[in-house]
Amino acid sequence: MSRILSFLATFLLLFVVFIIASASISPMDIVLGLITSVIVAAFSSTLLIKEAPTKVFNVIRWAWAIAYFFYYFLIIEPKCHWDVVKRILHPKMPIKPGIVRVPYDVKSDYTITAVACSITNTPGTVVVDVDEEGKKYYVHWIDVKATDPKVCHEMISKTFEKYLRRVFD
Amino acid sequence: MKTKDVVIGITTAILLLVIAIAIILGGTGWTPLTEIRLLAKFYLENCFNLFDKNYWAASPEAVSAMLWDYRGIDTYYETAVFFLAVISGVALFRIAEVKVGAISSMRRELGLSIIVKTVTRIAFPLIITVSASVALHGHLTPGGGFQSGSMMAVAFLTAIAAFSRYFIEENLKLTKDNFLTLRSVGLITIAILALAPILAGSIALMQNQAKPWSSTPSFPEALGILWTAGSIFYYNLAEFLTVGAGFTLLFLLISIPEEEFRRILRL
Repeated sequence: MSRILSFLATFLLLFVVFIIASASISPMDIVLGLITSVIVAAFSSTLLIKEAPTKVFNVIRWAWAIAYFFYYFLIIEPKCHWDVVKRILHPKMPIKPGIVRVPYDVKSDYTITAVACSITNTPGTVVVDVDEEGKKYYVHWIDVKATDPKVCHEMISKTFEKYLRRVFD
Repeated sequence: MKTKDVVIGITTAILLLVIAIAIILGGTGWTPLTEIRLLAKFYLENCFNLFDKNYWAASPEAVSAMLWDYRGIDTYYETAVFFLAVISGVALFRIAEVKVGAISSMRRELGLSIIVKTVTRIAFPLIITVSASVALHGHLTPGGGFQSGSMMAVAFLTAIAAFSRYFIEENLKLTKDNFLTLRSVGLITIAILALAPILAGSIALMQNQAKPWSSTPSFPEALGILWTAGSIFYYNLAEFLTVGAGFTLLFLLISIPEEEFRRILRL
């Protein structure tokens, strides 16, 4: 059952991508898209979905994902941009770069990746490495305000984890 | 140091200024050209002319029409040359099979971080889907067999970089022999498509749409709802498999670790 569900989820994703890449919904594209998606999904569904595929069809997770999308791109991201813009335009360029440890408390691969991408995508912080056994990221920070892992977690990744745990974990 | 920077800056500025003045004064001719060249005119008027089908290729994509119809034999030889290069590669790396079990102990440490791996897991099927879309629309939109085949090979290349070559052999159960077979199937399909008009009694190799002097019928323009532009759709599909499998095969061969290679040669 879970294999069928993960196949279905992968198939839907690939079909949507095929239609977007083709930029057309003529009958020909729908038929070709169906064939292509079935073939590619057949060998990539286990690759894409390792855990319970029921998560894909969970509406609450999708709602959290959409909420996070808007919160991230409309509030968090512009704030960080503004912060970095100020630092660049400031005549003294007040930067204090350094690499800090940021612990994380999430389980699945997708959550770890999504949190890391969220940190990297905000200007000012970049994940340079991840330590899976120690459960921590190594983050390059443009303005190191603290070196204590707990404080860093509070300042850098707490919000991301709060939302993304509800989406992927 | 400072003087040097200033000199370099001023020299670059003067150089750009001279080039700009030369272009403005028409030193390189008019860019873009104001009239269409004779050859371009022929293709524009004929490659998808529904009212005068004497010289048409049934393909709205003029470049694909040229590649697989007007100058089809050239493309065919290009594909053959690439095939020979791949075959030579396979012959040079003349080891039977890399035993996967031999390196199972160190396999856990292979590959990049979990972030790269997860992103690659998502991107891998998506790249293959998009490359298939480019291949299947090669006769309608820019793209075609070679481009889409390269895109498919890039999917496998990212997988090799992010995981390891053993990921393709173990998780996807695809060995280099599979890719060699796929590649040969693609090339044989191209050969059959090219020879089909001759076997049907035509005098022209790779004839797509019948010309006024042809004795044989054209390839059907469409297959039900599927507009195939005669044979161009099939050529693109076969070339997609040929190039994608060929490049992937080479990537698999050159990613065999040196130690493994030497160990097998010594046996």
